[in-house]
Amino acid sequence: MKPLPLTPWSLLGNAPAILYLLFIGIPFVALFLRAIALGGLGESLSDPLVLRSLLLSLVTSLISMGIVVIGGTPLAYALARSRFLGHRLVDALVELPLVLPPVVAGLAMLMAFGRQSPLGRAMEEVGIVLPFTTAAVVFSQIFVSAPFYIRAARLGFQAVDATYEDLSRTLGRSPWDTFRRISLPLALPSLLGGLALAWARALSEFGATLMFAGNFPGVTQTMPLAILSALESDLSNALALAVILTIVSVALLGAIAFLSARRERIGL
Amino acid sequence: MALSNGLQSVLAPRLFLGWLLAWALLAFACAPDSGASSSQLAPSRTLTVFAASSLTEALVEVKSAFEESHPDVRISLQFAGTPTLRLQIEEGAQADLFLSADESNMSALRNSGLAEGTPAVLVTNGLVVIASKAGPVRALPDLARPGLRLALALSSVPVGHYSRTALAALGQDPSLAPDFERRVLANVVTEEPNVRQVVGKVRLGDIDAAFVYRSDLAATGPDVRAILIPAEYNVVATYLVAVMERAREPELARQLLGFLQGDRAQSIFQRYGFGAFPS
Repeated sequence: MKPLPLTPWSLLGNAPAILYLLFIGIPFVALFLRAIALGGLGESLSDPLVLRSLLLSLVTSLISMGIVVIGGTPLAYALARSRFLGHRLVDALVELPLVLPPVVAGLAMLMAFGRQSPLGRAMEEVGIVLPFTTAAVVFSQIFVSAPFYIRAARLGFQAVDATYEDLSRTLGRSPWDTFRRISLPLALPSLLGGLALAWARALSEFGATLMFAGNFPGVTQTMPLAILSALESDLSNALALAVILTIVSVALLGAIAFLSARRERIGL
Repeated sequence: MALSNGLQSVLAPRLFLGWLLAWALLAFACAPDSGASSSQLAPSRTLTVFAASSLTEALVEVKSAFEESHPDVRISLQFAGTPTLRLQIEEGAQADLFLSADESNMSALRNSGLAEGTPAVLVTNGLVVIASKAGPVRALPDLARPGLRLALALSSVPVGHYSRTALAALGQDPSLAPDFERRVLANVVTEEPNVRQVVGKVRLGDIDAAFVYRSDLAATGPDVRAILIPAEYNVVATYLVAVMERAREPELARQLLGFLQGDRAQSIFQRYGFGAFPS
C-alpha cells in the first residue's frame, strides 16, 4: 500500500473522513473518561448484578452463535451455489431482520409465540413457554444477528471458484468432502468476519429482548438491559457497565480478527 | 484498482466538481432559512416540558387547553420515566418545566441547584392492579398463584418503588396468604423501565397482571380488568412540578405552572384519575 500524498487537496478531500473518525471516536473517549472520573469501575465489576448480566450475555450469545453457525452455514451455501424455487423469497426473508427495527422483531415474535397466538397456545399445551424466558433472549439474538453471518458466509462461498469444487468432485470426492476440504477453508475468513459481526450484534441486542424476553436480573437481563436499568438509578453504574460491554465486545472482535488473520497466514 | 490510471485522470476533475457541488448543496440546505417562515403567524415562543410518562394523556389535553388561551406559545412535551428525565436535565437538557412523579428525583435537582424555588404539588395518584381479561387474575389473592407472569416497573422508577411499598403493605392484610408478598414477587418475570411499558405488556396479553397508577387506566382498553387496592394498603404518590433554573422562558414557565394548578387543568387531571391538588 502506498501512503496517501499529503497535499492541501487531499487534506480537503479527506476532511469528511477525519470528521467522521472524530465523530465516532470522541464519544468513546468521553464514555471512558467519565466512567473513570466517576470511579467505581472496580466495584461494579464485583457487583453480582453486573456479573450476572455479563455472564448471561456471554452464555446466551454463545448459544445463539452456535445455532446461527450450524443453521446458517448450509443456508448460506445453498444461497450461494444453487438456484431453487423461491430462491429470491428466501433471500429477501434472510435479509428482512436487517431492515426491521429490533423492537418490531420482538413484537413480531411475541405475536407468534405469545399466548394470544394459536402457535403460542399450542406450545404452552405441551409445556413450552418462550416469552419472558432465557430462551426468548436467545431467540431475539438469533433473529437480529443471523443475517450478518448468513450474508457474509454467502458472499464468501460465492467468491470460491466453482472450478475447484468441480475438480474435487471429478476426482471422486463426495460433496460433503468437497465442502469440508475445499469450500469451507477457502470461505473461512468471510465466515469468521460474519461471525464477528453477528456476535457483536447479539451482544448489543436490546430492543427485541426487552419486548419478547423482558428484563429480569439473572434470567433475561443481559448487559444492554442492565445498562438501561442502571440508568434509571445510578449513572456511575450505567457508565461502568457500558465500559465493560465495550471492552468485552472489542476483545471478542479482536480475538476473531486475530484468528482469521492467522488462518490466512498459514495459508488455508 | 478497478479504474485504469488514464480513465481515473479523466474522471478525477469531474468527480471533484461533483464533490464540491454536493458540499455546497449540503451547506445550503443546512443554512438557517431567514425570513420565509418567521414572517408567518407561527407561535413565537416554545416551552419545553419534561414530564413523568404516567402524565401522558392528561398532559396532552392540558397542553392544548393552554395553547388555546396562549396562541403565541407552543408547548413541547417530553415523556419518560422520572429518573431518566432527571438524568437528562442533569446532563444539560434544556427544560423549562419538570413534572416529577415523586419527591426524591425533584429534590435531587433542587439540591444541585437545577430547580428554581420550592417545587409545588401538582396532583396525587394511587396504584391499581391491572390484569389481562383473558388471564386467570380476577382478584388480589390470585396474584399469589404459582406460575403467573407478572410485571413490575424497575424499583428505581417511582411507580416501581410505590408498587413494592404497596405489595409489602398488602402482605400485612390478614385476609391474604401469610407469604403473599414473597409469592407475588416470585411471579414477577420482567422489570420495565417505565409505567407505560408495564401497561403495554399487559395489554399485549402475555403478562397476566401488573401494578400501575390509577391514572393509567385511561390508557388501557376493554382488554384489561382493573382490580382496586384498598386505601389502607395503597400509596399516595405526590407529583411535583418546578420551573428549571436553566429555563429559556422562566416567566412563561411560571405562568404554565399556575395554569397546571388552576381549576381547568386540575379538572382534566381528575378526569384521568389523578387525585385533586391538595389545598
